[in-house]
Amino acid sequence: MKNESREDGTGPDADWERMHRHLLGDLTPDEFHRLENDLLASRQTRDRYLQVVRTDVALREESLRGIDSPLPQAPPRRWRAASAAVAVLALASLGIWHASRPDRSGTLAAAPPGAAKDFATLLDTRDCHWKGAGAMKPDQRLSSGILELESGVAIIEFDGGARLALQGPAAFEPLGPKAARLHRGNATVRCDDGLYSFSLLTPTSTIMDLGTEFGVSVEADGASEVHVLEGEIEIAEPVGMEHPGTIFLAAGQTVLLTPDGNSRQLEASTKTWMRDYKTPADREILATPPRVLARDVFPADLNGEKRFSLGTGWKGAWWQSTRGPKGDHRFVPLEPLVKRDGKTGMALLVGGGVELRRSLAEAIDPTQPGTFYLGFSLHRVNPALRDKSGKLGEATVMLRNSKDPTSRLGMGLSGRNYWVVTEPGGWERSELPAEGSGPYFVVAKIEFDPRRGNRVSMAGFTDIAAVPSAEPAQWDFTTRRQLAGGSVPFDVIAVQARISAFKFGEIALGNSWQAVVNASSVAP
Amino acid sequence: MNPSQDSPQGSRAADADGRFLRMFIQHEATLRAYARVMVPTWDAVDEVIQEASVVMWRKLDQLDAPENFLPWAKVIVRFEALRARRDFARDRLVFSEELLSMLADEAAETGEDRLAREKQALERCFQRMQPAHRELVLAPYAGGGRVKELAEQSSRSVNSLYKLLGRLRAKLQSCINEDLSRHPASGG
Repeated sequence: MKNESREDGTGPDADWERMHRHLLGDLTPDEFHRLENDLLASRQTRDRYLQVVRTDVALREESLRGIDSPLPQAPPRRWRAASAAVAVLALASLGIWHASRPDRSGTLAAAPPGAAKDFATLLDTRDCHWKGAGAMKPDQRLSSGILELESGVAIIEFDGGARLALQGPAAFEPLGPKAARLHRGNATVRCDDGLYSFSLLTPTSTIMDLGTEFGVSVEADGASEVHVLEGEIEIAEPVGMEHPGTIFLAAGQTVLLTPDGNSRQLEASTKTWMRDYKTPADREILATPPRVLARDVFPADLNGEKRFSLGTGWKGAWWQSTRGPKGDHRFVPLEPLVKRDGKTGMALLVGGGVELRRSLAEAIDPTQPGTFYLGFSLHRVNPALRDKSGKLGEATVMLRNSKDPTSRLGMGLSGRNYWVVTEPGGWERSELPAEGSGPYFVVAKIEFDPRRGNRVSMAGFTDIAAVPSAEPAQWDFTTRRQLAGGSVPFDVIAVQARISAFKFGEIALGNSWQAVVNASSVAP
Repeated sequence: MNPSQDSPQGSRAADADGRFLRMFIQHEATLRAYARVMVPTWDAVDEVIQEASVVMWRKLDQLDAPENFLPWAKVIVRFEALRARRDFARDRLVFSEELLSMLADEAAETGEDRLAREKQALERCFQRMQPAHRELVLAPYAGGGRVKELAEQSSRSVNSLYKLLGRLRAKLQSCINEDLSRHPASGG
């Protein structure tokens, strides 16, 4: 691939990049000597380099934060040449290298009984006409094999987490839970799950997501247009090329990849990209009036009566509903949690959880896919006073499996402006900021998906008026965690509070957000 | 009680040790950051700081006043770093002594206010990164095995992850500078 801007580009970030790569021990000898000459020649370049060193120092401090003894340092690294062989191995480990040899049978990719393992699901078909086979229905599982879509739009979800919208006419081939090949036609991919969680192969390149949404259009002659809609992608040459290269593209950028291996950047995309990945179930949820599951509302008067409270006091944690029988202690004791470095931590040690699921007006079945929202306020802690010590530490939504105490996914925000997450690997808390106040109203979005795993996201608001009545299209979550599919379902949803030692505090639950969930029979 | 403290001389030695430790611990982070300007890896920083701390302890009686500890210690760190450079130069690419001296001189010119603002900007920008990106950015400090582990998890080569790492850090740096321009120094 001959793209002058990709490796030793002169973009605004290029200088920063080579300096950071130097500190990572990743420069070639030529790059190193050029950097040295530039530093000798320019005070301004040296100032930039010193700033890069200061960032390196701060990042190292960040990495050591919370760890008593320094971690062993990376062994010295010398620069490494790009290795096509390594890429081959990487693709092989994805199951792509073997599977990517086109299956020209022309059959559809629905998995027959006993066939290779399936790894994707057809979520939706919109006016689809498929070549050489009968109708493909939503929820049909897919394995490897070429799909030929003559017209319409198909939405496919890969078990690795990516959703792909395929626009006919197109020839498309699922390759694995995190990979597919687009032979021709248009596809857009959305993947929110981090680095390299999905790769789309074209006749000339491999497009890898870096937490992103992107569109790809492949012409009959193999030429491809790649456009980044959100986030960032990495484009790699086919591993068989003599000089494999890499292009990074950011949101809004478009590149044309020609069949002979050249590439050039375009001013703007020439295509229209499908960005609606909704399933029929998604649309049904959107069309259904919200049903309220939680009992309480955000209190208008912070000093008024609370109807549902959880807290810790002198005698331990408690829960009560002032409208129902008092002292209804449906309390989930929490064992000490273990910090990531293996030590028992103090966070979340004090306090307890309430099995929230049973306190809802309707039950929630976490074995069924569904999303619900839980709103609660950090009540009784006067906003003007909550930064002072002794007030509520943090409130956490916790998902657990009653039969497996090690399974947990919890997330919380604190009135003192930090977040905390508990996962099977341990708990983690962000640094206590030196300034600023935390949210007073918290909304947790809990997504149950038995196939992909459960996810909890959390957003905080300082003012009740800022809490929207429905999920915004762009929600800037403060924290988000997901456990991979295959884990045991969580059947306990606990709201749990930790309060600074020996001080009284509590949280009140509210339902200003709707719960959207497929309720089923859970024992009362 | 430590037997060496039984005598007045032993007690004075223990006082000196305590005084040195307090000053060293107080300024250790600054000295490490200073060494990082001149040596190529964090492993090398550890070596240089270790050697320099021994020299400081031996020559503590040459320190005229506690408030002069940092500049005095920096001179020793600089000497040790330049000495170590000759060893590192045998098997790796290292900057010339001339360039390292320029960098060391100029590093000392950065004001405390600037350092604090940069750190706050870094924290803001770092929190805005995707969690997976944050994890990768910190991975090199957790031992070489962590990057390899992440590479295996994402079915990528270590080399390609380092390439991405350089890019992410560059973006972080750009974010820091944009943040600094949005939050100019207060009070002139």
